[in-house]
Amino acid sequence: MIQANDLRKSFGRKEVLRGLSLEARPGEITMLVGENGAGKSTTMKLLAGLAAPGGGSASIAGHDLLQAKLRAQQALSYLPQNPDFHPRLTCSGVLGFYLRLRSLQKPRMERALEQVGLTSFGRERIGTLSGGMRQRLGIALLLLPDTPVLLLDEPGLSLDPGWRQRLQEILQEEAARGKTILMATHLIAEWNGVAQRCLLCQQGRIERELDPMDLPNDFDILSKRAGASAPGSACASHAGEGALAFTNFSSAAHGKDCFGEAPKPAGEGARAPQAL
Amino acid sequence: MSASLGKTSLDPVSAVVRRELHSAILNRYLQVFCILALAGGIGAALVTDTPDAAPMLILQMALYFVSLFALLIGTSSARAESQEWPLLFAQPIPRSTFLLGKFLALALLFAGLLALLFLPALFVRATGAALLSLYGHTLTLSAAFVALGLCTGFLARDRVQGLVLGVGLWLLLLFGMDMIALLVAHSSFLQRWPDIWSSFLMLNPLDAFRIDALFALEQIPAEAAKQTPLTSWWLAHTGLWFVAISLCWMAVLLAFTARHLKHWED
Repeated sequence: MIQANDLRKSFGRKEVLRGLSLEARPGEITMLVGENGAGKSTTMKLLAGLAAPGGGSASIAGHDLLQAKLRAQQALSYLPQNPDFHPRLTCSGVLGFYLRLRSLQKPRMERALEQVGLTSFGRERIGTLSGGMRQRLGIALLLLPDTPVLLLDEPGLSLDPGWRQRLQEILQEEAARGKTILMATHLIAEWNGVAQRCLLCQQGRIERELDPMDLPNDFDILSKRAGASAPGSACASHAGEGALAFTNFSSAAHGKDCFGEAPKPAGEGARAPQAL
Repeated sequence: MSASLGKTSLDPVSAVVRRELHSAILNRYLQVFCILALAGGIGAALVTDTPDAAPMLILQMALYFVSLFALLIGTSSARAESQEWPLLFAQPIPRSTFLLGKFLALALLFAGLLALLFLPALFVRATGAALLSLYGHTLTLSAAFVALGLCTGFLARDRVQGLVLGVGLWLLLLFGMDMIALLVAHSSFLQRWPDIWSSFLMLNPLDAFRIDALFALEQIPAEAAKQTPLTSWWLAHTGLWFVAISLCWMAVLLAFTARHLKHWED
């Protein structure tokens, strides 16, 4: 279980989180979506214990992140946006290091390498691996400690479609085992139907909850209402007062999604956040 | 699912030490240090013709070259996996553990590698006791500069900034503080309170090392110095003072760096 209540964070004068509250439950994949600068990555960093919140509270598996940070970190595994490693170390060297840090047994390392298809690359130096393979190594590190909570910040950006699919399957398997999974992503359509819940993060808050099974249509409706360009065309323009609408560019031809800005939609399609 | 705490609190430290020792072998600064240390050690053994000459040559190398490389290797080590910090610092380990592990690993490395500088001199007529004492103090000095290097490396935004900051501090400690001491030596205030002037030098580990080594190698008779009570005590306990001030520097630098790391990303 992940709980965040009224999280606040500023970097200098810039207020990044403005009272963000969320809850992610065991056995579910919860997605956190939003435009660049909405506060998704900052939220993930606070929940991973990388930075301290300016206000509010958060807990991981019942352990308060401020009062018992190491206990909370013990219960979580975090995959940052761009996992990077010492280029001269080998895959096994990196995994072995994290294995020893957490005092885990070696078979777990072999299993993690197998899960991401890197068994035969154990002795390869990181510097010789492609971006996608490094990301797979990052996923292996995520799975290594078998923690009850998984945090993923924009996972799979460098993965090919086959491995993105595999990542989704892995996460669904982990959720089925009762793990709590919170994931920030831009790739909305790729993850359509994968998560149980989808939270829209906007201007440092959770704005509302979206339908995780019908994300492209939801975004299409919103973008049409906003007067943004049609799916598959160029990104939505800054058409309004700075409020957010989604434009889906996730068609097979484009292979990715993006967020545009347009007048704020009203009425249908906008639900109040649940379980916040 | 498991989320058990580590078997012992030493596991993470030993993991960092092992990784640091492994990656240090690939560190260019360390490779250059090994070559220069061996060349210097052989050179000191070959060119000397009196028992005291080899330790004196080694003293000069320790002062200028060991301290500089200890600092460079510390800075380089601190920046080596800066891209990995988000992963590292999300582990259930205090960040000070990474710092402590790195420091211990580099101190261990220097304990071994300094043999390249000292061992050749044993084959000439140099006295073992003098060399052993100098080895111990050179190791202490290198540990202090490793701590300084780690501090500048972790404080800096990137490797270049860390190196510039580190080398700047090294120059300040090696030459700058002496220059300042020389410039202010004639002020009437310091003439009246010479202990303040002495304290300024005593607080610098490089000066403490230099004074200790010079007196230990009997190049300067202690009686020759115009002594105040403080300098009398200092000159009678130069070795003790050097170790004490070096340990203080290490503790302060590591504590300061650990505090900085604790608030990384904030």
